[in-house]
Amino acid sequence: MNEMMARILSMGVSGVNGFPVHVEVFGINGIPGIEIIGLPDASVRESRDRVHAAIINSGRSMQPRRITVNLAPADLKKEGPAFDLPIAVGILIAMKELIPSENFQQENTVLFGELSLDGRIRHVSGALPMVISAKENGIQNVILPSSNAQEVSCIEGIRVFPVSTLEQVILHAEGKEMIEPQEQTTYQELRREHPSTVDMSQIHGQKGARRALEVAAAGGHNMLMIGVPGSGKTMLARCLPGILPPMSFEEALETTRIHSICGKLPAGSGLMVSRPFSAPHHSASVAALIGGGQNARPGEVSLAHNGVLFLDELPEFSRSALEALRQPLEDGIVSVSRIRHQAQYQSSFMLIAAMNPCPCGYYGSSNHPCRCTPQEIRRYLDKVSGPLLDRIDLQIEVDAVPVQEINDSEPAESSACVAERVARAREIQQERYRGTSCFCNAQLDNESIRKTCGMTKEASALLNAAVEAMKMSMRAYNRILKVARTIADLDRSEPITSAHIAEAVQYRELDQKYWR
Amino acid sequence: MKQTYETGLTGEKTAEEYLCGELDMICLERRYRNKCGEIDLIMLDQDTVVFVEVKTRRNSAPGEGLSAVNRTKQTRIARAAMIYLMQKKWIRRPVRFDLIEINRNEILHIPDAFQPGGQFYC
Repeated sequence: MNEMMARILSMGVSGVNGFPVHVEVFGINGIPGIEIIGLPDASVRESRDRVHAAIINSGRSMQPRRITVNLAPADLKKEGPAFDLPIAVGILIAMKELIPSENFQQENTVLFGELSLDGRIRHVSGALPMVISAKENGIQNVILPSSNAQEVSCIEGIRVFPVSTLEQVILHAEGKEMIEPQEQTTYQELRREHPSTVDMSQIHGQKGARRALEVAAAGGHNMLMIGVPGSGKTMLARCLPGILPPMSFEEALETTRIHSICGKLPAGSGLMVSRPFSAPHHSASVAALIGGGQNARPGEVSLAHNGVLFLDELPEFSRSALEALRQPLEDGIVSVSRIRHQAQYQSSFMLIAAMNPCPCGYYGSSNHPCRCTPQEIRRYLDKVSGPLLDRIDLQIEVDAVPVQEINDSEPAESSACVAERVARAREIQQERYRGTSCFCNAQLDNESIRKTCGMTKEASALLNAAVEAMKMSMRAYNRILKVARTIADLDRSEPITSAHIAEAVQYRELDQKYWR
Repeated sequence: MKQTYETGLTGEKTAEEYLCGELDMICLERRYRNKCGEIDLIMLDQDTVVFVEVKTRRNSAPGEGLSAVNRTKQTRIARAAMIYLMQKKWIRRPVRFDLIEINRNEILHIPDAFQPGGQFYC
């Protein structure tokens, strides 16, 4: 018989999910050549040259045959170089250059990896979603590049074989030199090596802003900082990941998945343990923020999933980019549609925005004159629309730090202390919202606000007076209540008192001052 | 012109002697041509049909003649080979494309030098 056939299992990625791909290899006599079918993109089609070179450089010969490689299901697009390894192994088995041993469960083993010309196996993107989906499909073994092994080390119930050369895979499949499956690590172990971010102790002064940051972190509220240049807005924002409560295992999986398919995980890194902090430049397009491009890639809002999206110089962003943020802010999910791809990406993030009060930056500053005309200021501020502003619970002014405070030798409170209080407030919220769909105060809907935000008599009177005086809307009223709830949680007080309301109202004054 | 023709002819002779003598192949055709192109030598290596392109150089660096067989030339050879195989009803035989460079007395033989692939499927 001169026909030769092999079938290997691999994985492709579509959106944030993997899907099984059967790599079928058919060899027959005739004019020699390799043809890859099944909707491959350019990088998959190029894989024939890599596979050819890698096989020869792994000490195996390649008989000149007419080879057809089919990637089934044939109606889904296949992208990326991760199919190199299954194609190479498939060709070797079809040509009888590799006789798999009985221990190599071909039907129960997923392979993926990019080949280099010398037969080494390189890092691929999307390993985590592929392994998760392999597990969901009941596959028990995965052979993947060793640089991707750490990324999936927390997944239970699947044996992971890290490999670094094609030769290793061949010897493993032949049963001559078995590779040891990787040992599992628990998420707790990973979390122990917590990387440091900017610490709050490095920030001098700014008592009010620090407090607002703590409230924002404790309740998951969005925050806007308005201040003169150099007052420390960026630095404050960078502190935030350090004081947010650590990600749960599920959150870490969700976030790492998105970073994995974007290829943002450096080779050899494990599951992400610290919350992402994404700070796109203000020239970012809608597609860059929300996601898009030909393949409907995730954008910055999804990269910030479970973390912080920091928009510095808010009015400099294009109007359309800012308006596009409204849906993910509301729903925590974005759907990106392109002609060939549709994908839904999670994007529940905390929005932290920073801006100057006017084009020159010094409007309202205590020690610097502003040289903008009222029209200029108006135009500048109007770039931030009402609906967007409405979704920002905390608005604070950050003024320049006076000289005596810079020289103040007394160190400020460290992130660790603040993080502890934040974590405690979050625990209270988790307890309260057990069994509901929300995790923190920022996600409360109107119905549950009435249930959970019990006020004292004085507090209620104060809030009514404030709403009356500042002519606030119903929505603003609810927002103030949510922030007051968070402040009360930080205070570990069950009813909301007038002090809590007073503080919450003060975080709402800015849109009265600037946008009226 | 005349001289070039003769150089080519002696080169092909040397190549044939080498393939038959050293590698035990059997010569099927010399200077086979049809309307699609021509093939210098068609050999039989056990059961593999081998199409050989011979490049003869009198004075040049090794490998220089081989690089003259570019994609266009490869396609021409493959197309001619295809017709030959169809005429012989040999389309399901193992097939290979070799290159040989004769540089004075040096012989450089490259088995399976190129795989034309795709468009020649049938």
